[in-house]
Amino acid sequence: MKRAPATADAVVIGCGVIGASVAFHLALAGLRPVVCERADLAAGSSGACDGLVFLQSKKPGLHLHLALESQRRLEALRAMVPLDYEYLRCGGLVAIGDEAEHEAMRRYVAAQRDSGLDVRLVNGPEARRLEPALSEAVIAAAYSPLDAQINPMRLTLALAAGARQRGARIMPRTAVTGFECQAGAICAVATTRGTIRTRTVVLATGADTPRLAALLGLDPPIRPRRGQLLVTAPQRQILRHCLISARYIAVKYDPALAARSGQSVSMEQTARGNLLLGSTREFAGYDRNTTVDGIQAIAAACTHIVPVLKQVQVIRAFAGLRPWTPDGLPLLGPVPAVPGLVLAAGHEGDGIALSAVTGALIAELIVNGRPRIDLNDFDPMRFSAPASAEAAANGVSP
Amino acid sequence: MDTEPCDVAVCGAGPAGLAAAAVLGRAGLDVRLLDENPLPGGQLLRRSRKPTRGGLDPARRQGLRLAARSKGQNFYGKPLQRVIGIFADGEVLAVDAGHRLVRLRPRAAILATGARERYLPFAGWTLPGVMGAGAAQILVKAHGILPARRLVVAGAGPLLYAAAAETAAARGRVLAVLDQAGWREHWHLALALCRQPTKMLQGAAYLIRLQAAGCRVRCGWRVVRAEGRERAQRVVAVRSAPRGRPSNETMVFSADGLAIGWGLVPNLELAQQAGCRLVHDEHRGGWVVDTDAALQTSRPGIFAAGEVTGIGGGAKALVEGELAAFGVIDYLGSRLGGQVAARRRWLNHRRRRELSLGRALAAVTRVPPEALAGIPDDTVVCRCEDVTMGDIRRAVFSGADSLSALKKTLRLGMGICQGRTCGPVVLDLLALLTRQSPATLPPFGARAPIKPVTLGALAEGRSP
Ligand SMILES: Cc1cc2nc3c(=O)[nH]c(=O)nc-3n(C[C@H](O)[C@H](O)[C@H](O)COP(=O)(O)OP(=O)(O)OC[C@H]3O[C@@H](n4cnc5c(N)ncnc54)[C@H](O)[C@@H]3O)c2cc1C
Ligand SMILES: Cc1cc2nc3c(=O)[nH]c(=O)nc-3n(C[C@H](O)[C@H](O)[C@H](O)COP(=O)(O)OP(=O)(O)OC[C@H]3O[C@@H](n4cnc5c(N)ncnc54)[C@H](O)[C@@H]3O)c2cc1C
Repeated sequence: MKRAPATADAVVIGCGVIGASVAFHLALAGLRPVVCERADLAAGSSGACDGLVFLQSKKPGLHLHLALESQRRLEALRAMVPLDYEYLRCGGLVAIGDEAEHEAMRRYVAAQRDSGLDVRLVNGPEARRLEPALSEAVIAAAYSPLDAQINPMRLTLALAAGARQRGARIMPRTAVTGFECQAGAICAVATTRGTIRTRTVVLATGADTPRLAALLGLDPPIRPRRGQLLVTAPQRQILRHCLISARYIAVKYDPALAARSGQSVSMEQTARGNLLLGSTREFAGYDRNTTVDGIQAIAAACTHIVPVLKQVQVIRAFAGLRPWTPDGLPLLGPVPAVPGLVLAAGHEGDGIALSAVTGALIAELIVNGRPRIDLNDFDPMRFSAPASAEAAANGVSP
Repeated sequence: MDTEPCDVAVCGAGPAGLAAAAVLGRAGLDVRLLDENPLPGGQLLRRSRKPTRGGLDPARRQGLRLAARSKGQNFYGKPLQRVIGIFADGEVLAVDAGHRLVRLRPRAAILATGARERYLPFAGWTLPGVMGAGAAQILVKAHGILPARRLVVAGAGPLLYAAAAETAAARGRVLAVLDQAGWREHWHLALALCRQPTKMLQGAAYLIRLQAAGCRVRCGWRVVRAEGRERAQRVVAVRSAPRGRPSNETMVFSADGLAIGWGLVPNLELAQQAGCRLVHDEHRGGWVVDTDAALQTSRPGIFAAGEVTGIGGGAKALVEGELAAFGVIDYLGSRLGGQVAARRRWLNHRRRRELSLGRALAAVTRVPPEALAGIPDDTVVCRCEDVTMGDIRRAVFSGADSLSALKKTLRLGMGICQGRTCGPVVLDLLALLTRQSPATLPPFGARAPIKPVTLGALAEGRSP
């Protein structure tokens, strides 16, 4: 078994899409980070998710701004990594099922246009012209030509390979088991392959982040939010765009609604022709099993919107754990209580889309001391400040 | 749709499942026997066109009796029920021939999902005309069709001889049986069979029939290439020199059909999906379901019987089916009659004997490293996703050292068959290429639905 190096410029914990992107951008800046991954590359949520770079589902404002920036970077990164990640700007549709949704989407789309997104509402017939497989149950849709899809597993592998080419060391099957501190600051990371001395540690452990943070006496409010997905046998082209239901956007930001309302839908057809149909949003601890209820709910919701799917065979199902946070935004930045510790986790359902910009900003923070975009809204400590009372009052704890 | 309560769901109606259901039925329990095949009997009894009482093999005779009886009983009323998952709350989900879901909530379950053939890739194995030995058997026995005009049967294990002899009996031309195992391994198998005279006789009968039909039987030879333009026209084999040293002795057959198989691998997907622990035991055929002495898995209330607990043949399956049924009866707190203790002792004794046969079977079907090392780079290994041996070697070389890493890098095992065909051999390959022990390399995982099912079936009766 290969031993870990004795020292490192920085240690990145977790090699999901976020850890890989942070390592890539650190290596790009000339550092030689070591990435410790407990299992295999993309073994966590980054290997058990859709690959939507869906701009329409981002909150108008900074969240959307970040996503737009990330998309530009994802397009540019293709030339810098040794593996194709099947990026396709296919355009996206948000399917609207009733008048109440329509009304909510009118306001939402207006706010997004104000934030600079190219998006418009289309009526039912127009939606079916864009996407002939849609059923009459779709009364209208929001359409953006910018929405894209990607192969998230290959994106993770590509970023890791690009990082390795530039001097990063990626260590699969190396679990971090503890931290050593000197005068409160991190000085070493203990792993199953030996201790690495370092003064910079990036926690990119997705939904597992609370478990690692607990070793340092911290409790960031990230919780696993399970998403089940169905995969069909490869098909000729059924979908031209990636697609979500309006309910998806609502449920994403309101767990109370997720419990009340029916199943929301996301659909994409991959480069191989398989359809990915998702997905549930449940708080079920760290359980990554699929359930009868989840599988049936997805099947019913997807065939309702795209009826030709009824004859299509599901060949696999799986579940991933989204790293949920109370306000739907990730925790990005330093933790003042533990000098040397940087958090890059909590992307909920947006980690793939936000991977490129997250890696770039965290690398800028570590190398230059401050990133180009202000990370205030993503401050890991925002929930421990008095402001968190507001979030608590909203009743959005799991 | 509501779930239907019952006492026991038996998943798989092969010899193991049939034996279990018969005992449970006699104990007065409400049993559901589920199988995706139209007829009960599993792999042992499948596909005979002519009515038969099973010939020499006592396991087959007993299995046939059980199958015949099961049809009259209410627990095998609905054939073609494919189990797609067993969930945390104990619900068993199946789908029937009409694409309707069957939802059961049993108090206990028995996994008797049997085994499938194991394949080894070699140059040209994807050519038309190359088929599984089991498929060749089905063509002959169930459909009365000869698999080829001039057939070669190659691979390892006793099933090759059965396939060849049955083809010969149907007046098919079988040029040769090429068995990879040498005389030494066969000697061990013969010793194990000494205590089972009927199996010994059956084997002898196969050999006599093949001899009479002019078929060459060669041990210690393995197929390295099938050649031909549109379909297989030639089969090339080499002699495996002792201790894996390469040899240049070759044989070439002009054949239009090649039936292959390298023993069996258990169908573990349902057990894995249900969360039952697996163990690795090379004497039982690699990864198998872990059970206690009563055949209960690591998940309370779920038992396992037959090939899933270790490759060992039809007689082992029958014995384990009955033992698992007794285990379930105990588990459910039902009362067992007086003679049961003696019967269980006898069954356990029989089981040990069958397990030693399984050990000998594992030795004759073990894939030699040189057979894996010799697979050319351009040979397709994962047929669903077109992954070649070269792709695998390169991925392993650049650090992918587990099945899940290979899957993510190459899409290996992500196609329709979900790695059922290539998974076992890729595990052997990985162990060889990375010098890891096979026991540290877990197989592909499985989640519900474990087998393909239409979205329409899943969506039925559910509002969006
Ligand atoms: C069903 C579903 C659909 C989704 N769809 C989309 C989508 O369409 N678009 C999108 O942008 N996002 C989507 N997401 C969200 C996205 O998957 C996540 O936001 C993203 O993968 C998070 O990446 P990560 O690197 O933070 O976490 P992960 O990928 O989970 O990586 C964390 C890694 O840390 C490792 N680790 C944990 N503990 C240790 C330890 N002690 N030592 C070493 N390593 C450790 C884990 O093994 C893991 O590999 C979806 C998620 C789900 C579940
Ligand atoms: C291709 C092949 C050919 C063979 N030929 C011979 C031979 O000629 N002579 C001989 O002595 N032995 C032969 N065997 C071995 C013999 O069949 C086994 O030893 C014996 O049948 C094992 O019994 P079992 O009950 O454990 O499994 P099986 O007989 O394999 O029965 C398992 C049953 O479970 C069903 N099943 C599996 N998964 C599901 C699911 N998810 N849902 C519903 N049903 C399911 C299958 O349809 C099958 O009917 C052969 C095996 C194979 C695979």
